[in-house]
Amino acid sequence: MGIVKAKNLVKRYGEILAVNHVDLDIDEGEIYGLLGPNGAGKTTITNILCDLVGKDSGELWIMNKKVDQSFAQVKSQIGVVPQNVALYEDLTAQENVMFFASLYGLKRQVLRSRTMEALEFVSLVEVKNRMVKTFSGGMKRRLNIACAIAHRPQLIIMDEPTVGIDPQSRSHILNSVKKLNKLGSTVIYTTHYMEEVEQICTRIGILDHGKVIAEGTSSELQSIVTDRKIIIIKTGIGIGIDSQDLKSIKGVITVTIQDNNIRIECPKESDCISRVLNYFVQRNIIIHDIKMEGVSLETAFLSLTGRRLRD
Amino acid sequence: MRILTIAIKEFWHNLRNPKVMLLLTLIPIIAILLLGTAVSNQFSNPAISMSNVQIEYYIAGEGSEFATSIVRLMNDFIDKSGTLQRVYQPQESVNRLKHNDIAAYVLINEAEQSVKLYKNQFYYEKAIILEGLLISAINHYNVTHNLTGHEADPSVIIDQAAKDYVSMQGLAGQEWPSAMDYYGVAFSILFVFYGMTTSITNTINDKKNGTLARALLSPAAQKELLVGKIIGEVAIKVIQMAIVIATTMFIYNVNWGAKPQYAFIMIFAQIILSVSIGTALGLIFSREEIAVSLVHIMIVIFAFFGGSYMPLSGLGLLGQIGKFFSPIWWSTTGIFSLIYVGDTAIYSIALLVNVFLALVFIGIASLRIRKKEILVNG
Repeated sequence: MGIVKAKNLVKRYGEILAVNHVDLDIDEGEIYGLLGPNGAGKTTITNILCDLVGKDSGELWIMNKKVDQSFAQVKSQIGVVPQNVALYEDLTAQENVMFFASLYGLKRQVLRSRTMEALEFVSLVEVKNRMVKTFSGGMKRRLNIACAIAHRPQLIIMDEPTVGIDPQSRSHILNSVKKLNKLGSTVIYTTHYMEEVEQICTRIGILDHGKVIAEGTSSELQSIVTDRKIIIIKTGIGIGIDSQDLKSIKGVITVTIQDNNIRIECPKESDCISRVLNYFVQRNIIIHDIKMEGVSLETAFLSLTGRRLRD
Repeated sequence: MRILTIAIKEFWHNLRNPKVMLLLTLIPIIAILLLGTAVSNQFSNPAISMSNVQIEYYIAGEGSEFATSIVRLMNDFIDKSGTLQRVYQPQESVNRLKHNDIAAYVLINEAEQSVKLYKNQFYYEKAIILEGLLISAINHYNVTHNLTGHEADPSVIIDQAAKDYVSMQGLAGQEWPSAMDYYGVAFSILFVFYGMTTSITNTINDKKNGTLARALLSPAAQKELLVGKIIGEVAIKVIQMAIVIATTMFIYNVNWGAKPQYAFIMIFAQIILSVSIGTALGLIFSREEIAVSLVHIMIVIFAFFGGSYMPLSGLGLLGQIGKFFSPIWWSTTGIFSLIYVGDTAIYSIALLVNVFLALVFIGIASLRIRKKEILVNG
């Protein structure tokens, strides 16, 4: 059995079905990404996984223990990085990590060394004695992680840990996730950033309206959408091309023009390409470059859910 | 062990919050000083003190038994801090009286066996006492003289008159608190109750910031989190109140009784009650402003019926019934009864009321903290 196994999880808030018969099977050593737009049910699922919110029905096992019966036993093996930064602003970085780590039973010397280890991991050792209220958003996010890992959990649940931070801090956090995984922790990572799951996750579950609608590796998910292809054409600068004209070509599904790059999505089995090229030849538009691409995760998501991730 | 860790965290967290420190230390110290001095006249002792009174007298004559008796009588009524001085230039005494330097000037005429009192309005109350004393003594002397028709020993008659007719004893027959004594105790109690607003704020912030949810994710039991939190807050409030009480005791000279430890036990019980109410309300309410407003209204009503702002009298049936529902009344009355009457009955009931209510609110808080879902979703 995997480190997390869920069968038919259901959670309702009044009329809203926040978690809709979700099944999960996450193996030890994975970085499992839960990808979905805001309101898809990611946080509710993570809250159920860490027993902060009760499920209405379904079954859940964490580390082979059924949650309803013996969750207290596995709590010390779970680290949770909440979506919102949950820190005491009037305490120092070190005091925050020490406090939360001590709740997991760490004492004296072990507590001190693990605290320093966690602060080092997120590169905050130098500012360990500073009050959290003086930290930047990125530093707080990193400290938020440190507080969840000082007790060296086997399973780390990260709920959108990179929301609202600068690219540098995001990159630092993503590298940290990979490092934690290498050190032996299984990570459940929720996000609505496609590029993050593509970059770090070994497996991804696409979540929409509280339901996992597809699951697999990034390439497996992309291959689900097998009926499309992408043509990317690069033209000279300053050439006016009407996207509506291109869209009117038989077989063209979508057209995106950005500067002198034109991205055209067509059905895989069609002679759409020849018609598109003919369009450029007829108008004497010089093509500098042309390439074919497979379907991206974004396209896969769009194809599966009918909406974009940031909708 | 976890309880201790949580309590220490709570202690430091509060200690670094200037708002918390200000509310429970500086504000009560200033409030007690202002009220204790500003309304001192409203708290004057029913037995008006003859301390610090300056009286001068002039004897027109050789210093007969009559004059000596009058002087001895006056001397008995002035305490050690006052002065009774014989003068030989009556006009100078009159001038000093005009300039408010002395409270009264007494002219004893041996030949006429009469006494004239010159009063200063500035020392009105003290002069009135002296006047009553002298009138009583002279009248008694005159009556005795007229009835018996012969010269009696004036020292016996006058001394006897003073003892029989003029008493400096207060109506209550007991020690009476000054304004500073009153507000020192009443406001210390009141501000312990105001301290519950910081417990509310801390608890709601813990929910808002997600730190409570984060702590609930750990293996720490809910009861450990709750007890640790309460101990930490009680500890910081004990220190804050110790500062307030020490200031009232050693700087303002507030009377905390012959056995002040009993008053401190009451304050300690009240701190536990205040923190328990604040924590329970913080766990129940999600919006700080609603909870704090509710508590402010509650405290004002409790304080009014509890006599925090002024000693209660003349409130009729409303006051007589209302006070029993005010934990402030129980605590204030309990401590005052102990200090000034030596009565432990109300004190004991008040202590039980505080402990009972604290247990009720700790129970409510422990029920509430079990509902993790509500805490997480506000």
